[in-house]
Amino acid sequence: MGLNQAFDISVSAIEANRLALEAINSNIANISTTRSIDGGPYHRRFVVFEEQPLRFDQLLQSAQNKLETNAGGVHAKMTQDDIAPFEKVYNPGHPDADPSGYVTMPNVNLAKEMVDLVEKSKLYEANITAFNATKKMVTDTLSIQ
Amino acid sequence: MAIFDGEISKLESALDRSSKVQDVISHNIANANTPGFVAMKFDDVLGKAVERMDNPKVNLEQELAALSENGLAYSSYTKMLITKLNTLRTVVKMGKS
Repeated sequence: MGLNQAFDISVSAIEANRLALEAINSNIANISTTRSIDGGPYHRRFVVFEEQPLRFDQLLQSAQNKLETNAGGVHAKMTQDDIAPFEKVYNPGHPDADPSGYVTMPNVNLAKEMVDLVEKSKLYEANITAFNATKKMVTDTLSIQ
Repeated sequence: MAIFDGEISKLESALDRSSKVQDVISHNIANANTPGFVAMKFDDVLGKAVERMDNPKVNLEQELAALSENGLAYSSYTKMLITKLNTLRTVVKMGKS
């Protein structure tokens, strides 16, 4: 049935936005982290969204187990920002300060993270609305007797 | 007599179309933030999703409005189908007594 596909699409987007929210949470939590796992200051993380093509003919193919299901939606991939420059803060007493007294701080901008946080949580909600609308349609279908 | 006229199959194809439109709207909402994504619309002639060239960027308000509209259309088709089936049921019961 076609509506299962709509569920999968909405779920993929809910997952993708949750991953984006995790990245933002990690950035805010590590806004002052000067010792990351890889050494050096924490790198800002973000999620890259990638469209999964929506094709109706694939429904038949996936039913025949010929292709893995790839029926629309979005795919998110976590990545880290290595390009944005680190901020240098003068703090000579800090154990990670360089010989001239500057500490390299993570390339996280709190204002940007907060804006992203609002945007991603609104998109999360929008996809839940879509999911609920599909759920209502399935309930309607079940009422046919 | 045309009790089993084409109405049921017409409603069935309307429900099918509506569920495909739901896929397209869900896909647009899912990709609202995907870079380079062109919003899609359901093409009735081709019976599949095509890229929307008049307004390529996803408009979330528009999509959510289309979502409600499609949901209501789907509801009305199911209601019409239920009514049709009830009519048939009545006819069948009348023949019994």
